[in-house]
This record gives sequence, C-alpha cells and structure tokens, in this order.
Amino acid sequence: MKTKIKGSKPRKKRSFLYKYGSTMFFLLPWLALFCFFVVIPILVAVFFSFTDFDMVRSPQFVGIRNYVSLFLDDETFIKSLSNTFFYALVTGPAGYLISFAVAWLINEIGSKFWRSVLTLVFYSPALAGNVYMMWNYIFSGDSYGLLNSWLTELGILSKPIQWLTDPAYNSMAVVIVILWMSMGVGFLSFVAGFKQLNKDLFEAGAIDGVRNRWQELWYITLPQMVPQLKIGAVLSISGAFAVGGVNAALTGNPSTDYSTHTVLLHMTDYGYSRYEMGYASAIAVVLFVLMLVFWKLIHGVLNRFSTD
Amino acid sequence: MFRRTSKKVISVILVAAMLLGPYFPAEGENASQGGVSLLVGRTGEELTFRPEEAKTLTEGDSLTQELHVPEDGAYYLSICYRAVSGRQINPEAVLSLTGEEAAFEQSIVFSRRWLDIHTDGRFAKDSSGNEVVPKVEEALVWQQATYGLSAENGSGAVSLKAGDYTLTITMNSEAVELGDVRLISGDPVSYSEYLSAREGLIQEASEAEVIEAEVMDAKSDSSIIATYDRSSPDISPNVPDAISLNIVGGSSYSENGKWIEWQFEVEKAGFYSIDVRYMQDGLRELGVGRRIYIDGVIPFLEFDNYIFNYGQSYETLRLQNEEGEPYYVYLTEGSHTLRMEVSQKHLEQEIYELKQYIQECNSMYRQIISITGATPDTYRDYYLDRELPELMVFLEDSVGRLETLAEDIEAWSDTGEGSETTVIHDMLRTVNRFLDKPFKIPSMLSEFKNNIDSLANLIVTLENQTLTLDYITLTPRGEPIQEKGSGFWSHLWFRIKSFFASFSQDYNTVSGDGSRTIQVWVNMGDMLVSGSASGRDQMQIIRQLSEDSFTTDSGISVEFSLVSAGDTLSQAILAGKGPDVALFVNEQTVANLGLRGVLADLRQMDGYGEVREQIYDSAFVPFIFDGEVYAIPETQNFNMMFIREDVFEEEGLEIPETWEDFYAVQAKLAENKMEIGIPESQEIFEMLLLQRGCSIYNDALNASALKSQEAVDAFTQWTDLYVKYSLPLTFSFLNRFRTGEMPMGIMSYTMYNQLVVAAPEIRDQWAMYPIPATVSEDGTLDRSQSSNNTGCIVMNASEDLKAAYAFVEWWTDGATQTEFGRQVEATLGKSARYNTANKVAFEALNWTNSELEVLSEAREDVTDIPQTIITYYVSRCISNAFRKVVYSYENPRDTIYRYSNDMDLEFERKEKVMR
Repeated sequence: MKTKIKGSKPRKKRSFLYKYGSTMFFLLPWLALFCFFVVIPILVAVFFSFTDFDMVRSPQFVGIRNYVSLFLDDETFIKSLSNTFFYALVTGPAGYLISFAVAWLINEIGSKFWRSVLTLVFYSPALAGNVYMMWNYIFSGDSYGLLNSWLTELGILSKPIQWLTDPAYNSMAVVIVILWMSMGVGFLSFVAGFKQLNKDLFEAGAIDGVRNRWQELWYITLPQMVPQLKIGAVLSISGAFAVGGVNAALTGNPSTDYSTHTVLLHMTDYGYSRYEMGYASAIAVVLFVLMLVFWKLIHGVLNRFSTD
Repeated sequence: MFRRTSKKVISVILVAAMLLGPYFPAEGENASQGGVSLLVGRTGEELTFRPEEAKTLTEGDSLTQELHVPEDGAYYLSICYRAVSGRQINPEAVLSLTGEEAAFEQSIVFSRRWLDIHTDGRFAKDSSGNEVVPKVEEALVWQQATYGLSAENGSGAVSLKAGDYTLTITMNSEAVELGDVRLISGDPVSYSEYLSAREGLIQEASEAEVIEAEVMDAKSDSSIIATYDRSSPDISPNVPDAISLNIVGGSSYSENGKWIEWQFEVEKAGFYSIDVRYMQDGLRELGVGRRIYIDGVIPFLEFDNYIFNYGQSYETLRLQNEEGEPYYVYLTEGSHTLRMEVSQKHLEQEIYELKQYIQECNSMYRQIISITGATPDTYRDYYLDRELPELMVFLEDSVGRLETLAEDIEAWSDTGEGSETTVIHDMLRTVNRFLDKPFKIPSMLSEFKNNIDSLANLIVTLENQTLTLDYITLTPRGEPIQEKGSGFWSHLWFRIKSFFASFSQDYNTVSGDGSRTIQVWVNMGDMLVSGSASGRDQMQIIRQLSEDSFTTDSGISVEFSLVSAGDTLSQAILAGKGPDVALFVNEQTVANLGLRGVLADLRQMDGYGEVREQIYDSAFVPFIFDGEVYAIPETQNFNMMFIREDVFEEEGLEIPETWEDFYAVQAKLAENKMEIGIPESQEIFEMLLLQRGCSIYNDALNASALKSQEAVDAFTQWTDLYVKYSLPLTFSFLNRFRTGEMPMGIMSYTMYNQLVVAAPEIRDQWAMYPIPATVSEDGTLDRSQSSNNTGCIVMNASEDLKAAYAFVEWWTDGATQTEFGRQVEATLGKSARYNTANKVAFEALNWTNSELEVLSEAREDVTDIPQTIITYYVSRCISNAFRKVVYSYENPRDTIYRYSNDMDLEFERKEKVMR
C-alpha cells in the first residue's frame, strides 16, 4: 500500500504528458498556428499598447498613458464606442433573430429545390463581398439617385438628401445595409441545425401535449439547437463589434463628424492615418476585452436553454 | 464599246479614289514654285485657278478661294497635302463651300503617314526573346485624299448646280502644306465594269502571297500598333514560350478614316482574290466597314465600303459579293500596296441624323425643365402642350424620324433586327406615350432623359468600327482559301506548352548586366484619373521604356511591381520591406513618409537641377519640407471651367471672368432651372483661400490660419454656393453636361479626357476656360488655385542609392515622360491622356494649340498648399465644418472657428507625439 502511494505521486506528475502526450502531439500543428496567428499577435498588441510606436523609431515605454488618454482625453473614442454599442445592440440581435427566423421559415418549405434556392438567395449578400457598394447607388445624394428620385416622385422630398454624409441619416443607412448582409455563416449553421433535429422528440412532444408550433419551437427545437445558436452568437457578436468596413465604404472614412465612426475604424485611423501604433494597439486591446465580456454574457444566456 | 468603258474606268479611278502618284504636284510644275492650285475639273482635267504663292496653313489659318463649277453634277473635293511635323494627332480642318443656293460645311482630317521601322521585315526582340513593338517615324510626304463636302452626306458626293462658289478651309489643329485642291466629279465604276475592262488579260499567277497584318508599312496614326494574341496556335505566327506580335487592330483601328497600308511583291501577274483572316467582335448585329485601296486607288465601287460581319473568333473570309462570288483584282508583276481604311460610310448618314436628333432632344429637354425644373412635381399639370407648342411638333416629327432611323440601321444588320437599335425603339415608345398623354410628360421626364443618354451612347457604339486582323492572303484565281485550322490536340498541346513556359517567363523584370538591381513599385491607384485601365498597361509601358533606354544604357536591372494604392506602400516601407523607388505616390503618403525620415532628399540626385527646370514649380510645393525635396512630381491636376458654348449662346450668356460674373450667370441659368456643377471638394475652398492670399496654415506650418477675416470670407463664400445658391452637392457631371442641364462646371482638367471619349454628340460644343477670379483691391484678377500631385520617391534604406537616383533621373526626364505619355495614349486611347507635371511632356501631348494655350495660362496661376503632419486631420475638419454649415445651416464663422481650434489642438498633440 505504502509503496503504491509513494509511487503514485511521481507517476501523477508524469501523467499529464503520459495521458495527453499523443493528443498534444496531434494537436501540435493547430497549436503552432494558433499561437503564431492568434496568441502572439494579441500579446504583441498588449505590449505595444503600453508604448509609443510610430513604426519607424523603436517603441518607447509610456506605461498606461495610452489607456488614460483613450478614456479621458479622446472624445472621438467615446463617440466611436457608443456607435459600436449602438450597432452591436441593434444589428447584432436583430440580425441574429432575422437569420434564425428566415432559417426556420426556409426549413418549413417542403421542396428541397426551393429550400436550396432560397438559402442561396438569402446567403448571397454575405457571400458576394463588396456587393453592398450597390447601396451607394440607392442612397446616392444625387437628385437622380434611386431613393432620392423615388421620394421626389412621391412628393415627399423637394430637395435631394445626402443619405450617406448627412449625420442625421447615415447611421440609419448603415444599419439597413448591415441587416441586409446579416445572413452570414450563422444563418447557414441554423439552416443545417434545423436539418439534424431529432424527429422522435417532436413525436413525443405531440403525444405529451404540445399545443402549437410556438411551443414546439421553444421547448423542442431551440434546446436541440444550442450549439448552432452559440456559433451564431459568436459570429454575430464578433461581426457586430467589428463593424467598420461597410461604414467606411458607404459613409466615408472618417464619416461626417464621426457619426458612423466605430472602434474598429478609430483603430485603423490611428494605426494607418496617424502612424500611432501604440495608441491603436490600446484600442485593439479594449476592443478585444469588450468582445470577450459580451461573449461571456451571451454564453450565460444561451446555456439556460441547454438542458445538460 | 471597249474603248468607252476603259475611258470611264480611268476617269473613275482618278476621281473616286485617293491617288498617291499622278496627283502630286509634279517636279518642275507646281511643286517647284510651291504653288497651291485650286482646281475644278472633271476627270482630272485642268483647272480654273492657280496661285503663285505656297500656302502653309497652321492652326487658326484659313484659305478662301472663289471657284466656278462649270456644270451640274455630284462633286467631291480632292486635296493634295503634306503634313507639317508637329504632335502626333492628325491635322483637322473645317471645310465650307458656299454658293448662291447652297452652303455646306464638313470637318475633315488630314491623316499623317507613319512608318514602322522594321528589322529584317519583322520585329526586334528583347532579352527574353519577346518581339518588341517597333518605333515609328513620320514620313512627311505629299498625300492626296478625297472628302465629301457636307457633314450631312459624310464622305459621299454632293450635288452642285453650276455657278460660282466660295471654298474656305480653316485649320482647327496642327498644320499642313496645301498642294492642289480640286473639285471633281464622276461616277464610280462597278466590279463588273472593272472586270470587263480587264477581259483577255492573262492569268499567269499560281502562288499565293501572304501579308502578315501586324507587319505594317505605313499607317495613319502612330497609335495603331501591332499586338499579340496568345490564345491559339492558329494565329500566325505564334510560339508558346515568348510573345510574338501577331495581330493588329482592335480599338486603335476603329475610328473613321484611320488606315493601315501594306506593301507586297507579286511574282506573276494575274487575278487575285483577297482572303482576310479577321475577328470583328465589336458590333454584334451590324458589320464594320473598310475601304480597300490597291496601289492607292479604290479599284471598284464594291471596295469603297466593304462590310465585315460579326464573328467572335478568327476566321478567313474571301472578299466577295452577296452571292458569294469572290472579287478579283488584277495585279501586275512587281511591288504593290494594299490599304484598308476604316469606313463608316454605311452608317454615317444615320450617325449624322442621330447626332442632330439628340441635339434637338437635349434642347427640348432644357426647354421642358425650364418650366418644370429637373424634378417636376408629379401632382401638378404644367400644360406643356400649350406652353411649348414646338415640343408637340417635335414629338410628332420624331415618330417618323426614329422609325426611319431604326429601319436604316437595321438594314445593315445580319438578322434584319438589331439589338443595337433597341434604344431607338425605347425612345419611340416614350415619344408615343408623350404624344398620347401630354400631361404625363413631366412625370416621365427622367425616362426621356435616360433615353437621350442611351441614344448618345449608341453613337459611340456605331462609330466604333473595330476590326482585328491576323493576316491577308492574295490567292490566285481558282485556288481555294488556305484556312489555317489546327485540331483540338495541337491546340491543347500549344496551351500546355505556353502554360509551362509561363513559369519561366518574367514579365516584370528588365535584366541588365546583372551586377546591380533596383526594385520599383508602381502605385497605380493614385495615378489613374479616368479609371479606364487597371494600371497593368501603364506598368508594361514603363517596363518597355526602361528596357529600351535605361537598362541598356546603365546596365542596371529593374524589377517592377504593381501595387494598389493606399496603405500598402507606406506599410511595406515602414516595415522595412519597401522598394528602392516608388512611382506615382500621392502627396499625403510622401508627407507621412518624408516627415518620418524614410525618404531620401532628392536634391542629392545628380541631375536634380535639370529635372527641376523641366517641372512646374507649383507641383513641387507639397513635396518640400524644410527645404528638403522628397519627391519629384509626375502628375499634376488642377481645375478648369467647362462650358457648353452652345447653351451659353442660346441663353445669351457670357463666359464668367470673375466670381461676380459667375453669380450673374448662375442667376440666369437658375431662371431656366439649369445648374452649375462644383464638386464638394476641399480644392474649391483652397482655391477661394488662395485667391484671397490666404492659406490653411500659418507661415511656420504649425497652426491653422483659418481664423482671419479673409479665410472666414472664403469659407462663407464656399458654403454659400450650396446654401444660398443651392448648387447640387452630388451629381454626375458627365451626364448632366451632355444634356445641357448643367452647362457649366468647375472640374479637374482631366474631365476633358472623359468628355472627348464618352460624349461625341457634343463634340465642338464645349470648351475649357480658366476658373473664375477674385478681384483684388487693386483691381487685378486672381485665379490662384491649388493642385493635386503625385511624385516618385526614393527610399533612404535603398542599398544602391546611386542606381535609384539614376532611375529617377531617367524617369522624370522630359523625354521619358513624353514617350510614356504618348504610349499610354496610343495604347489606351484619348481617355488616358497623361496629366503630366513635366513642361516638356505636357507640350508634346496631343493638345491642340488653343487648348494648350488655355491650359498653360491656367497653370501659371496654379500653386499648392504645403503638406503638414496633420493633413489627414485638416481635411476631415474642413469637410465636417462644410457639412455643418450646408446640412444644418450653422453659422459659418462659429463653425470654422471651432474646427480651427480643433486643428490647433491636433497640431499640439501631434507635435508632442512626434517628439
């Protein structure tokens, strides 16, 4: 007995490698890539966020000065933060719900052919990349622009509106475009998720007294879809916080009075236009932390659905 | 019988054709006296007038002559001329003939004669074995051309009654020496007449003669260049592992009057058919026309405008009539020439009619919007039929005109119905609806306008008589067409070989003697102004130029890369992965890099003094920091005022000189609901600042200077344009300028390129003028404006600074820049005219003298505002301030003060960070 206990101690120390050694070995390629492309860049960004770095001269250590001026001096950052929250809270959940609803409706279609066609149709805005540039034409400030000329014909406008540069309208325009594009990979995973639902459970539910489709959706479909919902949530959060490309392309970078400026754009503004990499890194770190916190929150909410 | 016909043949040859030999002023006759003869005659007979003096016409000159037409008949004008060495464009003139009963006007082109310099009958090869486009040389020889007399009839003959006429030839661009000018008449000979005149001639020939179309002997434009198609082994000649130039044509060979001439030897006399291997992928439903000359003469009527039908791939066609019987030409033993000239004769009446119609439509459109405004109120009845009775007359006429037009064009189509004419039918539908319900006209106005646009684009399509030629075979009568068609397997094998060869081919490097190499990045996004090309063509031209002279002379190898604009360059440079030299870098990037000490001071370059002399001083302004020069300017953009002269004449307006005049014109135009186009751009603000003697920054460039009274005035004037005068903020200048609803605008002078190419229907109806001036206190006019430049830079970190400097010195030199500008325009067309900052190159580009004068004058007032460490911030402050005032009507003074303070704060902050 004694020897066994004695011997078990060093064996226990060895046991991590003994137990997971081969697993780790097979994970090695992925781990290497993960470290190289994710972990190291994050660490580098954290390091630079404590320095002054203009990409030419070597970085100067400045402590937390970047963070201090970020939160206390930089009005534009606060504005971009509030814009980012606005987009995240409006387009994130709305896009998420729309994707889910559309996926559910598509799943209800009997014909396999039309199901695939509609899936493609709804997915295509996200698939087609820069096709959102066509909204430039719809929202053009020209009096012959699509929206302006419609509204003029209807007698609503008498003078063209600069939809994309007037701060009174451009946020709304951006939200519309982002929602139009929100059927992304999350949507595809929902479509796939609906297909692998366990049919027995629906039958059992019917026997046990499910009264309508809503109950079926809430008590049977959703709990089975938690993995897909999580993926969708991760994608929609990271998407919502990384909003920027569409804004910049449609409303200009920077937009009039930073009306559609987001944290991401603020970061590129400092990094690429002003060559202040230290400051830009601090913004990146803040953005990273924000996304992490939000993911934790969503994770908690979604776990409530999950029965196990 | 035979005698009569043969006489007729000769007469027609003399009359209908362009004659190279017999019509030149013969030695000892006119030529020795250098006299101009204005001749009227039939079948080349003598003359009514012969002056003593030689006549050289330069731009603006005109020649006026009285002449007597002895009898009624259809006449052409034949002119013997010699081009005077000048720019590469062909001299142009306006011809007018006025008599008691008739007056005609026609613009004509005197084509130059360019010779390709060949080596051993083909092309020289570069170091990698690729064939190189040969150099051209202008042959200043006497040429003869025939012209129609009226724009309406195009190149066709015009019926004249006997009587006295006055002929005037006014040069519009370039210069020519005039020889005999003859009014000639006669009926063209038909093919059957041609053939019967040659009955009994003996057929000795048995061997076919092949002419490779890319090996041209002479051509009308230096822009017609041999190029290559590597897609198939059937295109002759082709090798899988190198570029062989094997075709000619395409877009450079599509404009009416352009021609290519080939010389060939015939070993034995006889009748030959002409087999042409070609591709015509331009006009889908309609054919393109070519006028075919043998030995300088159109042999018979059928060759006056031979139609090549649509075909997406290369095929060999034996020139033949509609029944499929080939046309034979009789060739004697010895040397002959074949010339194919672009001809749109089959469509020229329709094009003329279309242009007239569009002009009338636009004028009607302007009359309508002068009542309804550009965006009419749909709920209001404007009673247009009562207000504009001539509108209804015009619309009723339109139905017939459009129907005839569509029928005439469709008559030339293969299928009898043309997708090209769809737009005419669209217009017809709109017109019918207008006639049906005149009260609906205002609500369908945009449809009308769109149809006018489409009709204008139809002109561009119809005038584009594109044809690509591979080779031409002269086959003796009786021999079959020698069709070159390799099978699927040899096709596949060729493609496989060329695929593997592509790994060893380097299209981006010019190799010298191997000891020294520099890397050059070509930054295209900032260079492209017209957006008509990807930049790859420009880079290939630079590479070729470097191969021809720089590398050959210095032995330095050059590796070229094309980079997209924006951050790529600065990021790579800052990361230490940059090139030695970068071309076409914008002002702000130069400032960002220069101020961080990455760029070499180009004053150390050997030839700096000479280069500096050649380039406009103003273009250097944004590239100089504390006296150090970080870039040599390549391009410079500035604004000009574009004006529709026809509309101004119609409205009785004068070209504005000052801003006061400008406002007066604005008021008049606004009365008729017309607009002025000034883009929402910081340049306009800078223009107004500079005209008041202000700038954005103080002299030390460390604080904003926008709080002065003058600066506030400039800002107020700028915003007032949109607040008080309601100028549109967003618009397509090209489209609105065409219709005339925006007959005036201040635009970058490169808008010229777009207008020339995309709006042929308003050609000669618009011009560029200097921008409006501010009157200073002493009464002088100040037309200062800022400019927008790109330049080339050298990296400090370059391992071979000497080589980099040598490259920049070569590249920015006037000769290289001229050659680059010319080749870009030759390859990509007029829309790609180079907006060079080099004086020598600028003057050598194809501007007419009057255009050059206006532009040079405007450029004298061009300066620029220096770059600072916070340029990125200033531009957003100014645009935000502008929008605050224009969108929310805030007080201009308060607004500019507030943003001026912001700028000062950013200056402070940035200086702290930079230190």
